Amino acid sequence: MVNEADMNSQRPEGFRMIGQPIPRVDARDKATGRTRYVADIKVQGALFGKVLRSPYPHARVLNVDISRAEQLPGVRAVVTHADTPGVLYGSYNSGIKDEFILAKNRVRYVGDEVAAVAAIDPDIAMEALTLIRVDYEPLPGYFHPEEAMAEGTVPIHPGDRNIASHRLTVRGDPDAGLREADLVLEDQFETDLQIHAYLEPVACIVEYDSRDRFHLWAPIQNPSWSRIIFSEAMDLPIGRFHCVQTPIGGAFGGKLEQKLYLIGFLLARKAKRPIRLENTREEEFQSSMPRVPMVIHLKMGMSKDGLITAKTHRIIADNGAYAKYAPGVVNLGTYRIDGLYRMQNVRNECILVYTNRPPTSAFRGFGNPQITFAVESMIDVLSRKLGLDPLEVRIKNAALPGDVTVHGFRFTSCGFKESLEEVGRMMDYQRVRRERGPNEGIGLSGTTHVCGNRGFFPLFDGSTAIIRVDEGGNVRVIPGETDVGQGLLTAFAMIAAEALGVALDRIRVDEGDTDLSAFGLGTWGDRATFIGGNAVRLAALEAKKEILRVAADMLEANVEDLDIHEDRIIVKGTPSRRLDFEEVTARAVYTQGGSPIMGKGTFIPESDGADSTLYGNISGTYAFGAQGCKIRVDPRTGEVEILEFYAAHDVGRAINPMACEGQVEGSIAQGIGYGLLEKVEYKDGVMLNPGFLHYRVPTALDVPKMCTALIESIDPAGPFGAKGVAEPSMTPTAACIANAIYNAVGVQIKEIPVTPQKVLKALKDKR
Amino acid sequence: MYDFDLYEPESLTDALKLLEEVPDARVVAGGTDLMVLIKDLLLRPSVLVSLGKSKDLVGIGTHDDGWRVGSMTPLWRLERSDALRRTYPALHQAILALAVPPIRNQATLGGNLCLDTKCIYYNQSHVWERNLSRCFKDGGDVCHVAPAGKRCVGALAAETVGPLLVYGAEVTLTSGRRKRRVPLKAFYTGDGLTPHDLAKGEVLTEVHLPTPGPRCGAAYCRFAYRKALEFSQFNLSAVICLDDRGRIDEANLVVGAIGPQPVELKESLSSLKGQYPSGALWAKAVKKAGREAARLARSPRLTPYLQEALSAYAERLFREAWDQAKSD
Repeated sequence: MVNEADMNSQRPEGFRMIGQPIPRVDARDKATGRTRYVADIKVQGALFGKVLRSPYPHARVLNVDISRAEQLPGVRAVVTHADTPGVLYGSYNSGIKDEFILAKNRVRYVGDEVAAVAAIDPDIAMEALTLIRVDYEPLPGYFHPEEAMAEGTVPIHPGDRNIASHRLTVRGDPDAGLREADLVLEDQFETDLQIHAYLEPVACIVEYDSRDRFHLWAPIQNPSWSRIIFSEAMDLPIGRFHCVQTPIGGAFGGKLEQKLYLIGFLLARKAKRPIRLENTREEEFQSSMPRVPMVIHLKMGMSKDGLITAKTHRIIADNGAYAKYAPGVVNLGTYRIDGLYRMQNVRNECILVYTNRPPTSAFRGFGNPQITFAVESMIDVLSRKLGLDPLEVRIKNAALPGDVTVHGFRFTSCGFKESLEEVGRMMDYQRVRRERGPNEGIGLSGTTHVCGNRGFFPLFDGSTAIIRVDEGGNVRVIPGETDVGQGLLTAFAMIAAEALGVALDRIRVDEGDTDLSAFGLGTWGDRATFIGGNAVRLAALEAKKEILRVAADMLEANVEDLDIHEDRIIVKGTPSRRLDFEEVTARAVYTQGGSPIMGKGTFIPESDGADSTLYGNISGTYAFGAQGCKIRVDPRTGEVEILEFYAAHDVGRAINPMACEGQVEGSIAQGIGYGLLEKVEYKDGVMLNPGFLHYRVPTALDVPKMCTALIESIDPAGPFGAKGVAEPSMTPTAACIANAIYNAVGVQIKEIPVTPQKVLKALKDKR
Repeated sequence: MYDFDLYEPESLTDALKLLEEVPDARVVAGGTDLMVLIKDLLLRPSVLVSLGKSKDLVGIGTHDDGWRVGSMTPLWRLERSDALRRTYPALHQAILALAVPPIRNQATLGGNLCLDTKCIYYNQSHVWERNLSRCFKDGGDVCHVAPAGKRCVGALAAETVGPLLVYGAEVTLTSGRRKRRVPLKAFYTGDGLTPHDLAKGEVLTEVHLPTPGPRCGAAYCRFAYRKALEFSQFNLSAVICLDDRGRIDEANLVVGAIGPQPVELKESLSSLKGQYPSGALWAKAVKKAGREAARLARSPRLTPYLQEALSAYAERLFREAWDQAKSD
């Protein structure tokens, strides 16, 4: 183990690797089709699984008859609720247990899992589904929280008025704060479902071995943590599950543990054969776990010199059919912005309501884009009504390093103000505000996010990485966190290469494997680089120590006089006395009974977790950023054209600026989709656009020119000073667009996605 | 998927013979749309006859009286033809708006004209979970788009139809027994279930484009929620011909993608004849175009919002066509 004192040994500058724009180590394989995603893995004798889903949004299940399906030649197993342990389970943190693996006597949305089959080929599996007879008794479906909360509704789950969770948090004196304000505004904002729309559909291979152990290969963001849920749902000890992460083709929060894997376990156990399950794109849309829609009733007060005096919100959120991670999304995701603008008086009420739509859950930003859209929109209106400049108002209220927020977050580094100023500079804010063309406008928004969240998993925060160096000098990094397409394999390789003093191509970073890698929470909450990166760095430093110890014997020198530089072990000050990296690793392995050089690094961030009111410093550090955009509105049709986008993000330190910029650009594209284009259409609970044609993710032509600046606040605890960027960069985008429309044509669109219809209607209402 | 037989005859004659011999054979042009329908199991033909190797259907011929384009000419060839861009700019604009380059590399002009109507309630995969009653097109007795209506109002979403109409195109339809040439407008039946007037064994083989008259300008635009990979909510093709004194001799506006057939607003624009064009004139002329198009289409696809947008788009389009006509 390397102790914390070694943290101080990091060189402030003069990095060899850190800060270099490096194409991803996995880019070539992905671009040339060599990467083996789970759907590319062939398993001898594997059966094809298919899931029977409910065609009704809400119905009683009276009977499930599988006899004809079982008799179809080629069918090897059919499973129903009777094959499950029959226990309710739920996500780890919410305490709500409201799901069975397969429906017991109720289905709650179109797509709810009822039964599954395994057959020798996919066509037979599909045919078998048609032979399962399910008797349903339809119940009234509720597609909006307001409907579901009304008196006299049929409860979707046992409980009162279909409320899944309800929380009220008060800090300071919000009523006094509102009284002090020179202007108080009150308004309602609405956000909609957003589908993750990653390119790789969820799929898995499951094997059940002769020792009753389940082996899962899947693109899973959180392999270790998933075992806790698998154990609960299958009513078996954690050790019975072995999860191997396959390369992930996009996740965005949607590839945490999935019900499909549990169904795979049931089928594999019953058929005693490996099972392959793959979602179709329609299943991805109908039965994945989209972003939580929210109706946000917001009230804010501002003094005439632009200080926010109080903020209260009441959120009614659509949970869909099952709780999943939505209680965390509404309760833990929507109060972060209170620290961004140094608020002292807040009242936050969050009501999460079951409906008969797909279960909503984690999605990049985790509740933050929803509330940010509302608060940032209102800041612009408050500023305008008080005759103040929205950029100056933001800077005036901006969080600063050293702040302890109203919810107890400690900002050990904070480049928010710099981010705002940089966006203003890049977009030539003052000039463009004065000299913009007709129907053109500019808008701004800020953002903050955690980098890990102890409030989510109170028992544990941290990460452990293992590094193994073989006799040939190959370095294998076994992290506890997962690459979800964001470039973590590259970041970890760079961190290890920097800390070890060797070339990048020596390093190989593993995907997660619960039999090999340390327990880790996986990748979410912007935690992977900050927490996992520290663990990798510490592991590399420990391995380096071991290498130098062996080299010291070989060179008859003191360990303290040695260093590793460009793949050579050198004696500082005497460059002629040196050894090749492989000479030392071979000697170490051959003289130590074959033991590879091992390094293990553990990093535990200085976070506290949250108390019962959610007060507490839940993260070891926090990320910040600001975005701005320029748009043009067509006043005749209400169409909005985005002309330019600007982003400045406090990433602590950019381990790989190329990857950071890529993250930000991808985020802006996803944010434009959220703000302008992406809408799920329903008729009677049936999703009408379960595919890429009518669910409109922006194409390359819909995304404007983007300029990105990386603000380096050098976090004292980050690996080489780094923090996260993936989630905060998506959070402010929709708010920017809405603010730019307000600036351009003076109408405030309070519902996203901002369709041309809404803009035109608002323009007419104004006239 | 399921098994089907695929034939790839190397001439039109062989293709027509095959079509006569195999009654339920289905013709494939570029296949960019048909294969999706088959994959979704909306069509299950047991025999496919691809025209992909019938080279006699590919080519662009320029003649004194206009152009003849073989129906299997891929869209990319038209897209990259400078002569086409100069002579038939509206058609060129429409091709550029259509889908994305990889699809245009494969798709053909004839295939686009024979595109089946589309509807979000019909064009879904067979694995789509639904509990909606079957619509007309799906063998049922309801239309989810126009629940009060008695017919399918699937949208003819083909981008090239409108421009070809304003240029006065005709098409040749060939079978083993006969060959006929019909105005493109007559090729569309208005029935969402069988939108094309195409007899069994008949193939659209050629598109005839007359040479645009002097002092004529034509332009195309469309309303879509995304800039690529998108079927239009509506598309517009406008044409204006001026007389030798600069007055309007003829004006037409074709609205596509709002119902099973294109809608022409020729009659409501007939009052423009003899008038001197101006910005104000166009604004007045198209004020009610949206409402008029919705009425003629007898389909609620053109919502009140889209009607309004249509008028705005049409005004700009006429200015563009007018600019062209003036510079001619």
